[in-house]
Amino acid sequence: MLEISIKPEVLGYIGAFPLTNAQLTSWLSSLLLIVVAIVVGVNYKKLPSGLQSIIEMVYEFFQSMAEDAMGAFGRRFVPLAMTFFLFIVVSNWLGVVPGVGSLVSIHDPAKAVSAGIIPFGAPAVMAEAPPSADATVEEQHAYVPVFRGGNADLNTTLALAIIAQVIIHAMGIRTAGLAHHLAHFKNPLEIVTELSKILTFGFRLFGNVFAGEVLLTVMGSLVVVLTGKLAPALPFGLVGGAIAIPFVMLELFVGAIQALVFAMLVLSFLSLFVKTDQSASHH
Amino acid sequence: MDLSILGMALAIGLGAIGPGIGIGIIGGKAVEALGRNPEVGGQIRTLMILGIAFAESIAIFALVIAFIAFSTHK
Repeated sequence: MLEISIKPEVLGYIGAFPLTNAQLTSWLSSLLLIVVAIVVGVNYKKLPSGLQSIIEMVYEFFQSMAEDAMGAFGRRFVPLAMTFFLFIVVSNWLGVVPGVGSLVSIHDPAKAVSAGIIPFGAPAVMAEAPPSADATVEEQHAYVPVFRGGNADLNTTLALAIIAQVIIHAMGIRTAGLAHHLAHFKNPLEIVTELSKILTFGFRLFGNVFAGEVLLTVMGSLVVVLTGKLAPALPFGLVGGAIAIPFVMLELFVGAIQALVFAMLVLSFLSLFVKTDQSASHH
Repeated sequence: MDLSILGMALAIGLGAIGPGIGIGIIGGKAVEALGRNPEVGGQIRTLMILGIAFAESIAIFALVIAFIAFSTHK
């Protein structure tokens, strides 16, 4: 009855590239961040207020964290850590906005209505067939969510993890030199450790966000699951929504914590490889 | 009974035991450390969250395996 899919669903095709719902939401969160950055940047004030003070608070938090990890040298990694944090937290929070996951594009009206989907508005946009014949055709769903939390897709989180690892090692080579950097890998097991960091980075974020989405889906439809009646009617919807409220709050918390953990891990892994002048004089 | 459903339940159920114990130890020790020297509370909290994230990711791996078992059973 509950449709849970690990893969993001394909909405349509741009050229030969499938556009998935997770991709769309990721773009949306990037767009949101760009707009916020422009608004804060244009209305810059010496005495911050409102949005600017929140952004500055986040900045100062990461600055102190980077300084704890790498001294004054660490300041140059604040934008990196903050970018990871802001992107992940905005995508995670977008994932619990009403409509994300529940707003669907209908492909097969008859099946969708029998599954309890209420159609409204303009006729649904059909996902067009892939332009080239050899491109694999996904199994046709009766309906697909238009939006899906960006990090509820393993592709997004693995991409973030690979970006993080490449930057960590590039900065290690740049600050310590190639020979000094390679000296970390005298033990071949270290290479395995570094590769597995990509997996743990990616799976931790994906697992947390995806599990959160499943949790919200299950809690929201708890009444329907327990009574066994598929009732899209208002009372069931309201009860389901009320049951889900505490879990929405939990997800908001988890979303922020996971973003924080990701940024913090990037900073602490950076401090393992980056050679700072300060650390040389300290030890 | 569908064995893959049982496998899914076992994967997450057994996989959550270790991380559960681990997170308990981390949280308890962090509170202990906080009681001994409250002035480094911020640092302890940061380290605690990092440690919990590592322990928790083990449970998340089990969860991903459980979902994979669930989604491939059809």
